[in-house]
Amino acid sequence: MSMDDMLNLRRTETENWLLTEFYCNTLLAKGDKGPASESATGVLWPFLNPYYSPLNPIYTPVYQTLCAQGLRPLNEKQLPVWMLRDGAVPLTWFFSRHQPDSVEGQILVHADLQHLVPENWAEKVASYRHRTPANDIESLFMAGPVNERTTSIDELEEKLNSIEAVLGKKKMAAMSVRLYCPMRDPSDSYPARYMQKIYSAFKRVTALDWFDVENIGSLKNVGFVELNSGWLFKDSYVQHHVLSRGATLLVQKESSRKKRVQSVPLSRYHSVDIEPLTTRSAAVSEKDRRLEKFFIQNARLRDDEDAAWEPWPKWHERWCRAMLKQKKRS
Amino acid sequence: MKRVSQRLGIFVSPHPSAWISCNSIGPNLVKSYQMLAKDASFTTEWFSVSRQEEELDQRIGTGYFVELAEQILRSRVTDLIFLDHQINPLPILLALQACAGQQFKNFRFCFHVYGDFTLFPKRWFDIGQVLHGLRAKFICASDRQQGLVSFFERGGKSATSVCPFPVNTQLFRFSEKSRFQVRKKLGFRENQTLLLYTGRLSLQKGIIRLIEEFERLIQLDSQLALALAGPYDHLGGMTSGITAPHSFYFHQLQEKLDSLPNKVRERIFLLGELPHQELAAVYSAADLFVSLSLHHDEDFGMCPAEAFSSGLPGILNDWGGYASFKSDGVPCELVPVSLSKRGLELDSVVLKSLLDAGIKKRHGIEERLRVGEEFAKKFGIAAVAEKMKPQLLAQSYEAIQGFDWSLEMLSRQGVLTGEFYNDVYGRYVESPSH
Repeated sequence: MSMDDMLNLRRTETENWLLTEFYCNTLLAKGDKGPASESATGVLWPFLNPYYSPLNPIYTPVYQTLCAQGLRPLNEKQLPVWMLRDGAVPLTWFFSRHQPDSVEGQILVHADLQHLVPENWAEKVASYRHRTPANDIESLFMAGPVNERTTSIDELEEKLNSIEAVLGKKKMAAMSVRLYCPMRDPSDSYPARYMQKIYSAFKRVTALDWFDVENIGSLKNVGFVELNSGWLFKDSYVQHHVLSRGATLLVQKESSRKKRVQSVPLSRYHSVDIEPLTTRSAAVSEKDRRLEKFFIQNARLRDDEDAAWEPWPKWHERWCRAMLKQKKRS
Repeated sequence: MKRVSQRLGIFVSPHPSAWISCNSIGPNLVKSYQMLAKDASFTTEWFSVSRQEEELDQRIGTGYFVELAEQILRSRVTDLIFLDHQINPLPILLALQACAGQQFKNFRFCFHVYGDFTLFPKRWFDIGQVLHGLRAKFICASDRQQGLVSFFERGGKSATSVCPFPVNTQLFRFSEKSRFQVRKKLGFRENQTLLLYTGRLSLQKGIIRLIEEFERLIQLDSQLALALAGPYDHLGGMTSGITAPHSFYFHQLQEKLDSLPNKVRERIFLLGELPHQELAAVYSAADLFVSLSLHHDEDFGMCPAEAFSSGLPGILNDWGGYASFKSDGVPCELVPVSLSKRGLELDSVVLKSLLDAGIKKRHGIEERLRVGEEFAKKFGIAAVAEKMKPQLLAQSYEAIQGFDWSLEMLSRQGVLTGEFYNDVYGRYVESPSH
């Protein structure tokens, strides 16, 4: 029997379903559990869950696992691209540990993090930014894991200010807000202080659980705000889900039309714009001793069970912040 | 002689359902029960059961269900009616059993069974255990769903009965004005035929097969169009253990659409998820409803029902609840489905001939209004209330024996396979013998 005969075999509907599953499993990166340890994945669930796109959205530790297992990372049916969902911390880690020729295909990093890409990676990397429909905003949807690794109260204030700048003070005060903020580490007063800020900024807030979010109906005319600093992850499953239901990113940075290379749909309602890098980091490419030391120490800490609950040590986060501030100044 | 009325305690959920159709079914059933309450035979008492409260009680023991049981006892209800699929009746029954003591056996229990019956086998098995020897019944929305549920019943007489889910026939009725407006918006002339599918865009709903058929049909009539209204989902096939990640089906369907020649692609309209008013208008604008769904939860078929309520003719798979429409005299045609060891298969020859004939025959305005009115007499909210009435009367209840080991086996197995699958879902392809 020839290959053509095989492909033209009459199949039952059940066989078609099973083939679909087989097909999607061959395309999916197996074991995509996020950028850190199991316990960190638990803290950040479901924000790090995988979703499918021909752009191969993935967290770098999963990519590294795939390579280490000797698996061919790309499937011929997919675009030769890796859309990295990582935030600043795992991204710097990845670029410090890999050389451009070790990666098959092109890398996409979130446009907000493109300054972290070292010079020697420039040819291999482009940036992506989410694009959503420009609908009128009638209500808000806010989501984020409330813990100090992923959000900060200062940033929340900035976010609230930017919401006010978009909507105006009066409209913002009248907005009804749906809120999904799982708190799995309420070890201090931080979550309470964080939530207090939100509840005092809006009069009508409805807290949702994951069941509500997962099964939510159309979100047309809903503005989405993710409460995520972007240190650990930049592209979350919750954001993907909410935008795929028709929500609009409330604070949306426009891609430059001149430079935009390609727009790829992620769902019926939202897409990513892919464009060349505009800024790059010199700091990371220097690979100074201090950075190397940090990474080695980080790796040791990550193996330590007692520290495993914490995705990345706080000093690493502080270092990233300092580095970014330094870059902003320069 | 003074008539003793039954006091119905009806349990509803304050939350919207994860299933689109259930967000219509639940409120429509509530309206049917409200109508029943006007009957001298019944009075009603409503209980709202919160999912969050249930979860909290199960986690830390808040006593929510004990409090609910005490409320039930204080309200002096005689019958407990579970009409919302989101409510797990088990903790309510257990709390009531504990609080009521000997009085528990005096209640009558009625459950509206939904398509998710096979997804919660353990729950239903346990309910059968708790109610063994007590008066209870399970109302299914179609003959074949009754066949499936009764397959799991333990010996003796079946405690199942059939009553369709009610349809809001006031909302879903043919409107010439809506037809004109929607067709104008989509750019159709009156002589162009519009095929319509509504519901989730999901693996088991047969959308890709429908598109392939449409690609063939457009060779016969180049002015034909196909509209798909509904949200994408990523459910895969839970009963068969088929999983797909979020957005996979969107890309799979997109890939199919992108592969079509332009002249075909531009005749397919993806309308997205529409609010009920807009959906009703789209039904009016369409000429033929087609659903090739083989979804395992297809116990009734709310989308086809709303289409028929709008006077549309339809072509459906002879699968699950869809078959009941035909036997109830609704003008629809059924595509035979067979179940072999290789799985479910449509009769392609019949499908083609039905579609070929279907696109040539269109209902005029008067015919559509007539079909809609006939449909309302059988499936409207008032009609269903009338159908339910004899099923709810005290004398219609009998002591049940619960469910047998096969349901327990299903709960352990999780995913249905092999002969067991054929035994269970064979009920969805053939009419029950009893």
